[in-house]
Parts: sequence; C-alpha cells; structure tokens
Amino acid sequence: MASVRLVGVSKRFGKHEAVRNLTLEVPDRSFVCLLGPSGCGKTTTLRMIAGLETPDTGEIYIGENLVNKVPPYERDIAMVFQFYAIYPGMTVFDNLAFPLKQRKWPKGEIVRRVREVAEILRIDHLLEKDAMSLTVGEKQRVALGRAMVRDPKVFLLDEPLTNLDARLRAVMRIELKKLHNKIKTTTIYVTHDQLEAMTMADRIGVMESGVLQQYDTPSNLYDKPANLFVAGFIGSPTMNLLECRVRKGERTYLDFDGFTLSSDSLDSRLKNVYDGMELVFGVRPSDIRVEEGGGGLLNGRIEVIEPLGDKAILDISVGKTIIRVLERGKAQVNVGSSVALYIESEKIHFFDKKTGLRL
Amino acid sequence: MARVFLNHVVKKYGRETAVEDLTLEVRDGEFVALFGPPGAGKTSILKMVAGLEDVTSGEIWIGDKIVNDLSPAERDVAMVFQSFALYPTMTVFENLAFPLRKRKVPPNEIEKRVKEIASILNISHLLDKKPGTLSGGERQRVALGRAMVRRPQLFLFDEPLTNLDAKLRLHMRAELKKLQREMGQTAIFSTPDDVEAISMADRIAVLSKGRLIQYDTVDNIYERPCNLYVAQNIGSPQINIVEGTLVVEGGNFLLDLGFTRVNLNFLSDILKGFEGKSLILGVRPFDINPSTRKTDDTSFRGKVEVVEDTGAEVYASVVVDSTTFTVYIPRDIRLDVGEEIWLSLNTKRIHLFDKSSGKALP
Repeated sequence: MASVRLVGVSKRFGKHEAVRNLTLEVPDRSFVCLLGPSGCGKTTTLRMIAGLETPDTGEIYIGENLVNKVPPYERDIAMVFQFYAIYPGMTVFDNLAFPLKQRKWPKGEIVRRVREVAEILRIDHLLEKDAMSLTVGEKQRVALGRAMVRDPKVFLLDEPLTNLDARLRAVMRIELKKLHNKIKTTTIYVTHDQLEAMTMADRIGVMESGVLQQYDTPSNLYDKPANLFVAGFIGSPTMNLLECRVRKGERTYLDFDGFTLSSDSLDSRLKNVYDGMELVFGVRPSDIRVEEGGGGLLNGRIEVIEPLGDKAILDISVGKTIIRVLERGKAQVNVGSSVALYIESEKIHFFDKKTGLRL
Repeated sequence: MARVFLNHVVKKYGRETAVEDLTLEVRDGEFVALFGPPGAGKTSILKMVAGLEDVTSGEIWIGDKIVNDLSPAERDVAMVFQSFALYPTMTVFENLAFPLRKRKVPPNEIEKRVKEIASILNISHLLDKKPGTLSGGERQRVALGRAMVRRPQLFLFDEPLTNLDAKLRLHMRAELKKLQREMGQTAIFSTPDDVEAISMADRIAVLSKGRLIQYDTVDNIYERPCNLYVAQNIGSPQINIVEGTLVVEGGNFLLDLGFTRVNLNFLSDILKGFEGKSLILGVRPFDINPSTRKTDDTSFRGKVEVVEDTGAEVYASVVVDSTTFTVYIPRDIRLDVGEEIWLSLNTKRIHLFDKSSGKALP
C-alpha cells in the first residue's frame, strides 16, 4: 500500500502540452479517478505514474520514494488497460499464476495465492476453464485478478469499462467498488465517464487541456463546481447553464434571452456583482420542481417528455432557451402545457462568464 | 405518411433464422423502437422494410401497398445507418441538396427545402462548412437532414445514437424525439439500449433471437412486462429478482421469500392453483422502501454492500441472505457501507412470474 504524489508535473509531446504543472496527492488506500474528455491529459498522467512516460519537469512519489528514474517493473504497481486482455489457450489458473511464475515464486505459494485472489473475485469455480471460454464479465475479473496476485502497492486502471455494454458496465462498477472496499489497494482510475467517477471514486481530479480543474470529493464537485467546465462535465443530465446580464436598479435584475429574473433571495446572493456584468446562471435538472400553471421563479412550456421508467426528463422552453428538468416518478404534465418552475435560491450556481469561475 | 404492417414475416440466412414469424403494425405517425441485444433481428427487420433485404416469406405493407417486390427507391423510405457517411468535399448545403439534385428538383425549390430542413435541425449557420469541420452531433444532424430533405413517407434509423458519446447521446435523444413529432412522419428505430427505447418511442417491440417477445406502449412494457426477459432488460437500474414459494395459511396468500413473507391476498384470484409452487418476484429499485428502523412486520434487514451516489440520486446494494437488492435511497437517509438497513416492498408495485415458464402472472 502506498500514497501517490505528483508535484509540479508537466509533459509535452512536441508542441503539444499534454499535462501542465500538475500537483495531486492520492492518499494511501483511496480510490481516485482522473476524469475528463479525450485529450485532457488523464492517460498521460497515468502513464507517467506507471513509468511508461517520463515527465519533463516535476516529481512523482510512490509512498516516500521519488520514482522519476525508477523503471516501470520496479515501481510495484499494476496497470490494467483493458480487463479482458488475457492469455488465450491458458486456463484461468495459469493466467492468474503467470505473473508469479515470472517472478519465480515457489509452486505451493503460487497455488495458495491464486486461490486466495480467485476467491475474492468469485472466480474460484472457473480456475480449470480455458480463459477464452468465459463471459466478458468473467474475463474482466480474470484480468483484474492477474493484476492483483502479486499484491502491488498501486493499481492503475485505464478506461477499463469503456468497451462494455451499459448493463454490464453497471454491474462491473459495483464489483470494482466492492473489491476496493475489501482490499483497499490505492487505485487510480482514468475515465471520460462522469458516472463511473461519481459512483466509484473517493476523490475525482477533473482535467481539461492538460490542466487540473478541480480535485475534490464527488459531492463537492457536484454541489460546488469550481468553474463552468466542471459544472458542465459533472452530472447527468447536464446542468442547465444560461447566460445573463446584471442590471442594477432599485434591486438586482438578471436579463436573459427573452425573460428577466429578480427576487429577494437572488438579491442576497448577488451582492458582489456590478451593473452590466455577464454571468452564467446554473441549475441542475434535479433541483427544479415543476407544477402545472403559473407562479414559480420561471414559467415555460413543455416541449419534450422523455420517460425513463421511475423518472422523466422534461424539456421546457423558457423565453428562447430550453431548460431541462429531471422529475422523480412518472411525469405529471403533458407536452404543450404551461408550467411554473420552482428553484430554491441556494441551488442556483453563478459563474463569471468572462473567467468561467464560480462566484 | 404511412402505416407499416409486417404480416408473418420470416427471414432466413441459409439455415439461420434471423426473424421468426413477425407480425407487427406501426401506425401512421407513430415512433416505434425495435429493442434487443445484437442478434435479435433488429437490423434485418429494418433492411427488409427498406427493401435492402428480401423477405423469406410473409408480406410487408407500407401505406396501402404490399412492397415485397418494390425496389428501395420505389418504397419512398429513408434509412439512416449507424455509421453515416457524408460527402467530405461537399459543403453541408451540397450534402443536403444532393438527394434532390439526383431527383432533378428545380434549383429554387432545392434552395427552399434545404433551408427549411436546416432551420428545423438548427444547422442553418453551418451550410457553407465542410463536414470535416463539424462536431459529431452536427454531422449526425446533417445526415438526418439528408434523409429528411426529400420528405419520405417513412424513416428508418439503425441505432442512430450508438456511435455518439454519452453527453451527445442524451442531447440527441430529445432532439430526435422532438423532430419526429414535429415532422409527424412514421419512424422506426433500432437500439440495444433500453433507456433510448423508453425515452424516445411511442411503442416498443422487444425482440430476442429473432422473436417478438412483447409489443406495447412504453408504460405497459415498463409497468406490465409480459415475462422475466422483458422485466430484466427494460429499466435501469435493473429490476430485483427473488424466488419464493406460495403458501396459503388461514386463508392468507403469502409468498415466502425466506427472509420475509409477502401478503398477496389482493391477488388471491389469480394465485389459486399456485399453492406450494415456486414464483419469481420482481421489484424495481424505486419500489423498495428503505428505513433506518423496522417499519412493520414484513420489513426485513440487510447489510449495505455498496453505495452509488450519482449526484442526482443514490442507489445502494443491500445484501439480504443470498439476495442482493438494488434500492433507491432518498437523500434524507445517510448510509455507509457495512451498515444495516430495513427494507420493505411496495407490494402494490411488485411483479410476479411463473418460475418454470418465466411468464408474468396473471
């Protein structure tokens, strides 16, 4: 077990700055996700921790050791790219035993360790089977087991669930989380899927264009996104983000495209804004309550209802924009009906449009 | 505009049966999903309707005509494939105009139709650009536009959202649904994703291995799945499944699950004859009520194994004996892994299935 610490790490590929001045600490026994769109630098970061890339500047520590000059195989980490990269023509047992045989473990020790790991992963009944005959989910557990057998200090996982269908992905998310709860090996997990990050990680590092945007717990990222990028990237359906301009009169007005907002509670939230300032008003689809008729903070018309079984997404036109609402239970409104939107003032996120930063 | 009717349609490739005796009606203006895993027969059905594959037997009706012997061009159908190809050297305008030029539509009419479609699809500002400079979602809309511009009587979409990333898929789901409604054209789409099917379609045809399992409205597919297959493949997170034995005690119908007995007196009419038999109970994550205290005699205790918080909602995996339940957790209950929690089933919302046939009761 070990913590992983990156201090001022940068990496360029020619003119392209892949990672810029990244400082990040992954505590011992924690599960950390690096999250961002493709090209954000998350995989490069993982590869530098693994020793597959060398940072141009900065330091990488595993535990107390500076590892910049340590080759990959001496770092005591296990990297899993795609779970089902397993050796065909070998049994599950031989797949799991392979890394230990390479390290010339005694035979009795290998059998004991393989059985132990197979039990944790609930594949002990499959040990004699040809690994290629397994289901996709089982193959993934085998590949994971192969990374586990030598008990590395750190697991590095690169988009391991990307190629699975939605249902299996949901199952494997839970499996991985359970596994981490049990063995507690420090894990760094790279993904572009915010749902995977939100549901599995203790902490998430959100990256964009090589820069760490925010490093925090899932609930803080969700409740207090530091900037517009994080606000738009975390949460599904995505946060409604509406541009508006501040107009200072006897109170503070927000002019949107096609409607204007003002209220006492907004006044108290908007003390430090100036006349003419451009803001982005953010509210999550699950933080809006909809009722048929007038009243509410905003009024609109239902354009689309997407039923999702136990919930529904409503697309509501307000002025010239569309606001999306996630409603629990079955939708109680119809397409075309006029509705009032209720939003608690503390559920509104304000960002400075120019800097993108949270107010 | 057109009604589509498949009458006992069979499709075989050599010995392999891709579609088995399918009868299905799509009403004029309806948006229908063909839902199933790979190999269910979805694409074969679309291709037969489009005229890209022959039927082995049976009839395909579009409007008031049998189209079995009509070429794809004569069917007045537009099919949009999963991996759509735009002409890379042409502008968006030219891409959209192409199907009309081929049909020798006069130039001023072409101009008018392309602009109209572009405005519906919100791509008017892109008309002078080349496809290579567009985002994935914009390209998708151009491909849709090219199918729409000649106003076919029927649209067929083969997994229209599969190749898009998660965020764009969510966005295009609503767009496509709105578009279909505004245009009012009959449309059929295929998808392996249950969320896409229930969020977009008016009716869903659930398919498995070339067989139609259930064809019904979205509400009925979700609320009244005809068998275990439909119940387990529609709805996310997946429905919870537990096996139990029906016992009758003192005139009460009880489903004994081992850790609790569910009173099913309200179903006594349909349960006569099932005494002593094994039944499968299905209950959706939202229809289990979690509580930190014992709420009544039927509530049972489990251990929290995993908590998944998506930000908007929380689900927990709760282990009870050998069963793991997925449970929706309201925000006011705070849970940690390893804690114990009480569960009770919303019995009015449970689903029952015959264990041997998998069929829903009644």
